[in-house]
Formats: sequence, structure tokens, C-alpha cells
Amino acid sequence: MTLIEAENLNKTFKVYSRGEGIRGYLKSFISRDYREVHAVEDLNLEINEGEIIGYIGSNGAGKSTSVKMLTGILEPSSGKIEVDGRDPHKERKKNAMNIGVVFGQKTQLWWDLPVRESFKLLKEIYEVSDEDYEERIDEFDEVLQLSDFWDQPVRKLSLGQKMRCELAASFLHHPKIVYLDEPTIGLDVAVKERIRDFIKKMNREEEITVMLTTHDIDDIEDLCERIVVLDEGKKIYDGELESLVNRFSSRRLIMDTRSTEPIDLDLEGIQQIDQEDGHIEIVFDREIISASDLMREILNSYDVLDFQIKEPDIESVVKKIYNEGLEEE
Amino acid sequence: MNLKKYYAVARNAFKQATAYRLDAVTTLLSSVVFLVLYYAVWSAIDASGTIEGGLGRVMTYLVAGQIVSNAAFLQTEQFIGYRVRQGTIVNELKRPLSFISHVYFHELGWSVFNTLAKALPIAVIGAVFLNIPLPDPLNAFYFAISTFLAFNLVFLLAYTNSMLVFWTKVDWSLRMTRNTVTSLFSGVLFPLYLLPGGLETVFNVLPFRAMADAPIQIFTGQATGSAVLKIFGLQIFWLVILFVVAHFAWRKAKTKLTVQGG
Repeated sequence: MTLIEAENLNKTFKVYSRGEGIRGYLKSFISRDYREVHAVEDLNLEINEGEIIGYIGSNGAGKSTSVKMLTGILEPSSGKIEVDGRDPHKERKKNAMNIGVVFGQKTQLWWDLPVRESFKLLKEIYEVSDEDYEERIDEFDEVLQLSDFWDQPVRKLSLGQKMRCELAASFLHHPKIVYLDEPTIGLDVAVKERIRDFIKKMNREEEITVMLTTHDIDDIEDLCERIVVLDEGKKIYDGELESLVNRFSSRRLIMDTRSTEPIDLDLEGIQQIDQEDGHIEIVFDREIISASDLMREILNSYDVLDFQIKEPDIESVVKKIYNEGLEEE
Repeated sequence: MNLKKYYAVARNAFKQATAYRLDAVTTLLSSVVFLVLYYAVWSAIDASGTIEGGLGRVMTYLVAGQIVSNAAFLQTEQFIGYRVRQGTIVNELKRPLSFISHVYFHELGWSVFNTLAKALPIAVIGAVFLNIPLPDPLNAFYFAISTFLAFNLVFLLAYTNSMLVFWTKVDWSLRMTRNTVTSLFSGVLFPLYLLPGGLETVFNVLPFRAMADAPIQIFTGQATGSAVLKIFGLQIFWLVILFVVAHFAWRKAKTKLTVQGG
């Protein structure tokens, strides 16, 4: 069942520019030059109930703007949105009862109050019953371990603790859809994992649809089957994650060796070698040569101190799609 | 409207306010300093000539003014301005709450705290140290209603003023301007009954009088009986007008909402 539907969605902002110096400043009071920025352009989107969608793109690609339109906060310049049969902007409050939202860098908790108080207020705002609330908090506590800091004021929490609260807050009222805008930004691996487990659990057990914006490829790989890629306001990919990543089979091997002499490897599948003294970076195609085969070859002839293999990050995948386009299969 | 939600918002704001107890003590002190200063000034004026109604009446008026202005002290511009600048206003807008009601009940929670922590102590200080006659229970009740109406008026004015934040992105100066203008025209700075006839007409057509002078008149006993009803009527008249203006301002501001940093 389609839960979220966007048709030819557009959002245009006016960005004012000011001339230089005092003259420009004074002039800006009378007339101002502006240019139009198309934050989102002709976006079409269909999301089904129970999906976890990875919503990716570089900074300024229009992800947050489109999420703000889908949540009803911003009004589209043109186009149509329907979320669970409603126009989210016109029926903002009704829609809000149905959704949970985390804006990663903008805390929704009350700074001066203990975590407990923030949740009590959310309970009232979202009309959660007493029993349900108790049950819910216990359930969240198991995965997110909120009781560790339940009575502490929010301002004293660490980033990871705060994000665990944010997440719990967004799922508290059994929403149909949860929008997560960069929920793992700046967090350590352990917290990231806990957060992902929580999202998976909520999605599996309650069929909550999740739309996840992130720059973290691990988040995407762990959670999303389908991804939507935006660039400069336009949708440039919508489909399975696997088939996208497989198109980008290049991996980067980074290593430090004891010797500084030029490296000489003649193997099929190696696309590029950068060397700076003992620091070497090799780009290879893992479809042609596996990482283990490559490593074996290298270890035979070089004294390697340290090495790591880097997956392509989202940014570079996006950049690549944008530069080269996606070839039709 | 589901009032339970908004009651929870107000209760929360009250709890937040209690986290700033020290701030309450310092504003209370500044009110005391204000009264001491004004006592000195008006004593000097009293010594050099005659004031209508005498020094006692002036001081009663000014103490009542401090009670009202502390009970209806709002920093709505900062509340909204901070959220607009940081972009966290998205958190208010994603919730199933009306924005103006959310802000209103937040401010109401703060005002209850300010009434208990600042306004009431000033009444006690005025009665004990300046021999200010307190109103009888019925007038005190009318005074409370009128002060509540004044709070609503100040809120609508501050809320409308806050909408300018969407264009200016500054809030502190907006609040200071509003505060100064309101203090001057409402009677907080000097008793309006001393105004000469011509000037009084100007003050009468402005809404500010209903924000302090109105409840003060009830406190001092200048208005009794049907005059009290007239005062309520005047306040409600301005409430309706300011409500319409505030609503219009928010609609205008909403289209300006770009949410910074998104």
C-alpha cells in the first residue's frame, strides 16, 4: 500500500544577495537582488507501508527540504503530496499525530528539564495513554538503555545519549511513518549500532515506515533495501541499494609499507595507484580481483605495516552517478 | 482543542522557569530598585509642588504597575527568535499543536512563575515598606482578572512583534523596543492620570493603556463598580483586534519560513 506519494514536487527559495560595502548595505534597504534556488525540482516519490527508504545525496541536495515538505512543515512551491491520504501541510496537526521526526542536529527535547519530563510532555502532546506509555518506555529502555540517564537534564547528556532519546521520542506514539534526518551523525560505532537495531526492531515489529537521510554508508547497507538519491534537487536514482553499489565495484586499498621504492604491480583489475613514499593507495575493481587476492600478491613482495580497504562512500557514489549518469540496463 | 496537551506545555514551561530561580531574584531586586528610585524622584516633585492625589497615590499606582508588568513580563521575541535562527522551529511545527497556542501556553507557564516569584513579593514589599493599601478581596479578584487580560494583550503584541524575526533575524532589540514603548504608554513608567487632557487622548486611542493602566486603576480603587466592567470591555476590545492582527502576522510570516540550515 502506498503511504507517501509526491507528484512533481517543487520548492523554490529566493536568496537575496547584497552589494559590497556600505553602499551595497544601504542599497539593500531599497532594492535587493535575488536569485531563485530550486531546492527540490520535479520530485516524484512513492513509498510503501513498511519500507525503510535510504534518502541520500550530498549536502544541499534537497533532502531536508523535501523531508520538511513531506512532514508538512514547509509548503511546496508546486506539486502534490499525499501522506496516508492527507495533504500534510493543509492538515499539519492531523498528519503530525501519525508521524515521528528526528532532525539530527536540532534537538526536540527540553534543554533544562530531565529526560523524564520531556517524555511526559510528549506523552500528552501525542495523546499516549498511561499504560501504553509505561509499556513503551520499558520496551525502549531494553534497546536504547534510557534509564541510565532518565533523571538527568538534557543539557548534561552526551551526543549519543541525546540521540537515543530523540529516537525514542520519535517512535513513542506508534507513528505510521518516521522521518530520520541524519540520526547517526557524529556518533560512535557502538551507539550507531544500537540505533540501527532499534530502527530495525520498530520496522519489523510494528511495520513502521522509515525514511532515513544519512551520509553513512553503513546505515544504508544495514537498514535499507531501497534508496533514493537526490542531487541538486533532482532525483537521480530510485531503486535497490544492491544494484547501485554493484555498479560501483571500485574499492580503495590504503596501506603503509616499510620501503619507499616505487611499487610495481601488474595485475588485472587495478585501476589506479597513488604513492607517496611508503603510503600507497590502490584503486581496484573487486569484480575482477578480490581484495584477498590483491593482498596476497602484495604481501608476497612488500613489507606491509598497516592496511585498510575503503568502501565507496555515498558522496563519491553520488558524485559518480551525477558525473557519468546511470547507464540503462 | 485538546486542552490537556496545552496544559502540559504550560506546566513544563513553569518547571523550566523554576530552573531560573536566580534570575527571578535579580529581576525582583531590579523592581525594588526601581521603586526606591521612583520614590526618591516623586518625593522631590512632591516637595517642590503639588501632585494630584499626593505622593501616596503615585506610589500605589507605581507599585501596582510593577506587579502587573512582572506578571505579564514576556520574552516571546527571544523564544521565537531563537527557534527561527537555529532552525529548531521545525520541532514545534512537526508536532500536533497549533503554533500560536503552543507559544501562548509556554508563556502562560512562565507567567504563573513570574506572578508567584516576582509580582506577589512586590505586593508584599509595597504593603510592608511603602504602606501601599492593598485592594479588598473583591477588587483583588477583579484586579487578577484584569491582569490576566493584560497578560493576553502583551502576549498578542509580543507574538505579532516576534513575527518580524522572520525578516530581521534579530530578536533582542525587537523585545527591547516593544518593552520600552509599552512601559511608556501603558502607565508602568508614570501614572497616566497625571497626563494633561490633550496628551491623554493620544494614550486613549492606543492599546497600551489596556496592558497596565487598566488593572492598575482597579488596584488603586480609582475604578469601582461599573467602571470595572468598562475596563474589562476596553481590554476585550483590544484583545479581539490584536488577535486578528497576530493571526494575520503569523500567516504572513509562515510564507517567509525558510528554516535556516536546511
